[in-house]
Amino acid sequence: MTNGDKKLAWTVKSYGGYWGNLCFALLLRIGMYPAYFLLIFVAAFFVIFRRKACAGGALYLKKMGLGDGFWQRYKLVYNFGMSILDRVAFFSGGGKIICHDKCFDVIKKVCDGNRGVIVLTAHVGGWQIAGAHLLKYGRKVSIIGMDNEDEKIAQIFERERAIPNLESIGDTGEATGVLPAYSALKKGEIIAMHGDRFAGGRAANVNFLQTPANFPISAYVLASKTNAAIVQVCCVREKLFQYKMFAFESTHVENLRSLALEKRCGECAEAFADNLASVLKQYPYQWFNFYNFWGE
Amino acid sequence: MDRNALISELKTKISQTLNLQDLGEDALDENVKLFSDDGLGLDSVDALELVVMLETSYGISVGDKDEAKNTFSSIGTLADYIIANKK
Repeated sequence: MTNGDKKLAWTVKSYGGYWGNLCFALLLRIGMYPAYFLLIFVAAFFVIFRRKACAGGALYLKKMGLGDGFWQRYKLVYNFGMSILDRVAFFSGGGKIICHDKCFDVIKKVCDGNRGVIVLTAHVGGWQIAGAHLLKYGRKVSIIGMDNEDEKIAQIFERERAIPNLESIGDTGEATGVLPAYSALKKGEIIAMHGDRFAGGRAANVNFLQTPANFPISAYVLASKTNAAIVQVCCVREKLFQYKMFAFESTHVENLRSLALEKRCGECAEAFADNLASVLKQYPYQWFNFYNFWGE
Repeated sequence: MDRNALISELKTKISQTLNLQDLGEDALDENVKLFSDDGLGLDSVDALELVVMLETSYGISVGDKDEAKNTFSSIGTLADYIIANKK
């Protein structure tokens, strides 16, 4: 386990910008196709004039062996824009965006006991849309994470919202931010959090796309301390307006301490990274971590 | 419960729980900030270990994020919290 350099960690502010998102929200009132059309130019603007903002994505594309030329970067940024539009459309309740839930059997199985459940996601496809599907298991669902959007952007989404979002009860950027999740899991609730965004503190350094990278370990430590099950879930866009969410087999982390816990966290992070890589092999333009993930 | 005795006990328990035995005694002064970069710089893993220690040793839970931030600010604030909440 490493104490990761905070300079290499994600630095909080989400990618998108107030005007870009306001534009999207307005255009959704006209329709998805006009919104996707405008996105052609918005995405091009970012790729051409915000090269620094796209640098992290370019590095990822190189690691995937796709090259970091204009069209590859454009495709990644355009897909990211689509995911934002789809998210606004989904939560506005218009019914245009469909998400096929293939996770039910896996999550239902771990919900049958009294244990808490950690749903571990990545910044792939429509992860926020997947979150809305967790409410069907008859348990309270909360999120912890650091996707702190600009306050004005959050206001736009709230204005458009018809489907309730999950309650955020803490963030992983603060040391004590995980404690509400601890309490929730001990009560048998469901916590959704990310496993692919390192924000400082201790990390597991594992190979991801053939290069070592830091992955956060809070989820695994929480599971160890609360006996919660971990289910890794992904939600990808399969075609226009249609998403699919699916889960890998659940993981259990034993009640361990010190070196034994470090080792187990490393194993879990490695499994998470391998699963994520297998998803990205199929959907390479749907991973939206636009920062220097490998610290190069 | 005597506060000084409790603070001494907490220093021992925290040191053992978080493997801080190599730190000098001054490092675990009751007023040193536990989670601040200019204090002990503990992280979320340490926070979870401390919460478990609090539950198993003193039977006290802390779930609220803001309450936890204040409670775990220093060994002194932790001791005060235990004195106020121990049944």
